[in-house]
Amino acid sequence: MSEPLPLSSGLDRSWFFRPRTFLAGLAAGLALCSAVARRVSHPGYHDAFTRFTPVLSPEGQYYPTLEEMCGIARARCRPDQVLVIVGGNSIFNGVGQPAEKLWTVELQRRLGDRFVVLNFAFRGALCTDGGAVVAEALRREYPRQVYVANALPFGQPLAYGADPYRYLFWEALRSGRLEDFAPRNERVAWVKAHQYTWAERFDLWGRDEMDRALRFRDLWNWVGYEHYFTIPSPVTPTLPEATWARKRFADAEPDFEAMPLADRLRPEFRDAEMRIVRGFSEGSYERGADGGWRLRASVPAEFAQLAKAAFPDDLKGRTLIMLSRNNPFYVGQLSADELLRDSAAFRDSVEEWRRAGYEASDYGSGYEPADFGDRTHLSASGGRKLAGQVADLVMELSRRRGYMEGKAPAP
Amino acid sequence: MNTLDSLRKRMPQPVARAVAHTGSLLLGLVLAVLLHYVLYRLGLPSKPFIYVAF
Amino acid sequence: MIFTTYWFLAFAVLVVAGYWLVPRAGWRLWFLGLACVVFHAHFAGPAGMAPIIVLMIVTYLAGLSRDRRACLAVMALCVAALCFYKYALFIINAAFEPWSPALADALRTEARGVMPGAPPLGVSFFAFEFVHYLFEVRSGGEPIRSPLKFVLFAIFFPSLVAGPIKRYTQYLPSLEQGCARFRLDNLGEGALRIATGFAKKVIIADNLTLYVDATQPHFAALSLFGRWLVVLALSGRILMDFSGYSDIAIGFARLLGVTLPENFNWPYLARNLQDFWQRWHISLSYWIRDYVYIPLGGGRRGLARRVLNGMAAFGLCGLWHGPAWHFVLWGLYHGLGLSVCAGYSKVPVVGALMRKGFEREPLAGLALTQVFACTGWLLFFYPLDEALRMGRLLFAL
Repeated sequence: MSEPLPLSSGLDRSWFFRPRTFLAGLAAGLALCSAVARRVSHPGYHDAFTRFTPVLSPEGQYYPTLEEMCGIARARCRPDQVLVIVGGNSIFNGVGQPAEKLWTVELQRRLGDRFVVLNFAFRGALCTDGGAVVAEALRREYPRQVYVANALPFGQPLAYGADPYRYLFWEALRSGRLEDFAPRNERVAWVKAHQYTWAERFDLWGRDEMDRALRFRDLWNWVGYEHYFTIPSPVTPTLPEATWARKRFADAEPDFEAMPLADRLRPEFRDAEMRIVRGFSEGSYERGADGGWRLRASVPAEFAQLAKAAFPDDLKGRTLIMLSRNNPFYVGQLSADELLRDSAAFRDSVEEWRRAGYEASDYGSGYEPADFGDRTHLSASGGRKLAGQVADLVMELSRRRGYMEGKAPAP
Repeated sequence: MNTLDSLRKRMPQPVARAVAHTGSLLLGLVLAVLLHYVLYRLGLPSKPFIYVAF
Repeated sequence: MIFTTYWFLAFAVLVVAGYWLVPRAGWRLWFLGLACVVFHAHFAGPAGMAPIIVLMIVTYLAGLSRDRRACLAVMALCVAALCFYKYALFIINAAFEPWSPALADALRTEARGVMPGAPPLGVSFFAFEFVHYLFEVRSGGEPIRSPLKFVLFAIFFPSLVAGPIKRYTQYLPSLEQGCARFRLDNLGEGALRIATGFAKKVIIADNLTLYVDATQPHFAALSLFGRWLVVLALSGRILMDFSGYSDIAIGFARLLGVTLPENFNWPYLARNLQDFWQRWHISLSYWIRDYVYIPLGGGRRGLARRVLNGMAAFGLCGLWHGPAWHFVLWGLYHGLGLSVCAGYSKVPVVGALMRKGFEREPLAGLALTQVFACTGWLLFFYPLDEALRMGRLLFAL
């Protein structure tokens, strides 16, 4: 017979180890961690918050929790003020605009003290991600609210968001912070059945249930933000930066305005960018009998279904969707025929959003190439134009919804 | 272990018991914090165990 | 990934609680057997449970028969199954690609049509455990007569996925003894071991992995110190990843009252390569020694044969880790190192001097061993050309 393997040993220091006391310590420790998490996350701790920079985003292994983002709102916005939450993708996050020239800072300035503007846009997010979830979760605390986000023509407004930001939706759903809205519930049931295995659905549920009780995400986000971060990421790959408290990182967004225009519009990217510009309308339109462009029959129907489920009915009216036009430098290189199609895409998309019950408009028309940093992201000057346009729309929407009067309207 | 045993032999019984309970409680608290952190990390995307083909 | 899912944590908590709530020891084993089947069914993947069920049945019957030829035949079947599920494409590539790429392509297409999308869960582990079992029975050991106990040996969920590789003569007594009575000690010790494992895996190994992934692409641009830091991070990563998983397995087994073999014992404190392999993946290295190296003749037939047997054993050890040549090369690298370690002291004059030197300065042996082991990880993780490139850069060549 072969030689036996060395067996794992127990704690021979049995006089030293008291199992019941150890288990009591374990239970007490978990309760303590949960209590600390609740204490630190509710009022908000992002003192100098302007936006979610890469180190404060999933790409930096930092996943802001719902409570954390709600805490930012609570710290900034009084109940008598109108809460304006900005969502959407990197365009609305202000990529290419340094913090002091951020378009949402300009928006705040134009709207004045009656409003509080919070930039909750994330790179690569949909209009239903991030800020959208927070706005809905705060609808009772802040009945006077406007949600502003950007979208692409006929871009799919998935009710449950997209990775890597979908976790916020699941968190809000599981904790009962979202409205019970049947069309959205159907979409959620569909995505769970078709895109998640049983084990993955259990893990989503398990994670969120455990987090509701133990609040581990809130606690360790706070530790990582305030004191010591513990996960290297592509954004902070080296030591000691990987361990720095995330609040130490300045908003170091480069300034498109400081770049010469020629550097922003690189010829080697032209073909790829033009394919994208054409793609904004190519898939949605076909030739009509008269030779002109018409929307494919399925497009408005599909879009209407998604838009209906994206936000609850009573929140659609306070949602402003801004369709993002491309840099006129590239749009100007479309043929006349393509230009017609491109214009139709924005016109029809705005119309479909409005038909679905939302406020909608587009921006970028009449902008200059210098208002952009690349094909799609705005420079500070473009941000100022956007801020002006959005400020007018938000003001108008707020008046119509009675936000400007003394008493808060019913949610 | 010899050190711990010799330490124990020098302690009066009540003191040894108190040390044991305190040590176990502290160990439990430390492990709770560790478990809390592990639950946080489990929720983040992570690399699979290297022998994923097993 | 299995241990680091919420499903598994919930499953394990329910199973441990349910196990100890069952009033009688005999019934507990049935409960555990059912839990192991549920676990396997859940994680079995595209291959399903058929492969392990078939191999379990034939291994059990062959063991019961105690027929030496039957045991040998089923051992061969287990090895063949492992080769088929895990190495078929590798073998086709190695055997046919150099001579006839078209034939290799046709065979690969055929193989992919027949094989499942992924190997059966834990195939590398249960195949080895079955071979061990049949080898011991064939050598005169007592077979497992109870089908339930055989099932519990074959698909014991804590160790099924990533070891340790169990020995049935140790496992079964531990199982029988452990299930008899609940001990709070086991609960505390198991929890401590599990916590250690998760800390190693989730906190240390995952962080080191992220660090290595971010810095390794820029290896050439790093300073010499930076390059060694990457290699040390790689070495730390694999130890923490693997030993963490083993700790979790040992911990969960302990919650059920079962003592599993130790798998890692501070390998980076080894003073020579033989010592390293008595500390690294202990259950595997012992298996290789007992069922490959010694049956081949071990060190009993002269130095040349010893070297050959060692290289063969470790080449197979490397291949076991994955179906790729760089794993084989890693194994051969260690086989060569072990041969040198075993034989260097016999070199006239120099050998004796070196041996005395290492005895006087054990840190020198430790440093040399760890440099050897750490640079060896380059072969383990990267294709040969990349590993050689990094190795040259490590030594500023």
